[in-house]
Amino acid sequence: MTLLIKSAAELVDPELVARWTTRRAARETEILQAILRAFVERPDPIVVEEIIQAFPERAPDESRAALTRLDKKDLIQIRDGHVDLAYPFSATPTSFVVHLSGRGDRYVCCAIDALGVALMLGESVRIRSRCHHCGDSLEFSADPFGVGPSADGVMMWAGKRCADERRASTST
Amino acid sequence: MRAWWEANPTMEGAGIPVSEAFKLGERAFGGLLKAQTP
Repeated sequence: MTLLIKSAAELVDPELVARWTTRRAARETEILQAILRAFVERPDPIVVEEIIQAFPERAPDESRAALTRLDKKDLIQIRDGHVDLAYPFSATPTSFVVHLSGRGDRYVCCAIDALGVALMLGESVRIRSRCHHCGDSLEFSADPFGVGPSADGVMMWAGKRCADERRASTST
Repeated sequence: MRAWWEANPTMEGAGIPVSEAFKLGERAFGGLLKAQTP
C-alpha cells in the first residue's frame, strides 16, 4: 500500500458532484438557511419548535415534515426536539473548532467543513484542531480567498464513507 | 501524515493538502450565507 496524496480535482467524481449539487440545493432552502444563520449567531442546539414558529406563514406540520426530510437526507440532525447538527456546524464538541470574529467558537463536523465556514460567511475565521497522529495543536486562519501561511504543510485525510454509514459526520 | 498513515495503513482514503481541501470547502459552502447574513 502506498500513501496517496490527491488534489481536489482528483477526489471529485461524478457521483460526488451529483450528491453535492443536491445537498447545495437543500442548503439554499429557506428553512435550512435559517438554521445555519442561527448556528452562526449562537453555538447551542436549536429548539425545533422555535424553527417552526419562525415560519408562521407555513403550517406547522409542513415545517416539521421539511425538518424531518432534512434529517433523513443527513443535512441536519434532530435529537430530543433540538437540531444539534447542521453541516458545517455541530452543537456538540468535535475535533474541529472555528472561531468567528465577535461571535466566539463553533464546533464543526470535519476539516473541510471548517474550511468552508470562511467561504460560507465571506469573512476571516481562525481554525483550531489537533494532529490525529501526534496530538500537536494546529491553528491557522482562513478567509474567502484561502488559508493563512501558518497552514503551509498541513495535510488532511479524506476518508471513504462506508456504505452503511448514514451520516457524513460519523465517517472517517 | 506519513507517520499517521504508516500506523494506519488499511485506512481507505487519501491525503490532501489544506489548500486543495479549501477548494472542496468552497464547492460545498461557498457564498451560502454571504448575501443573507445581516
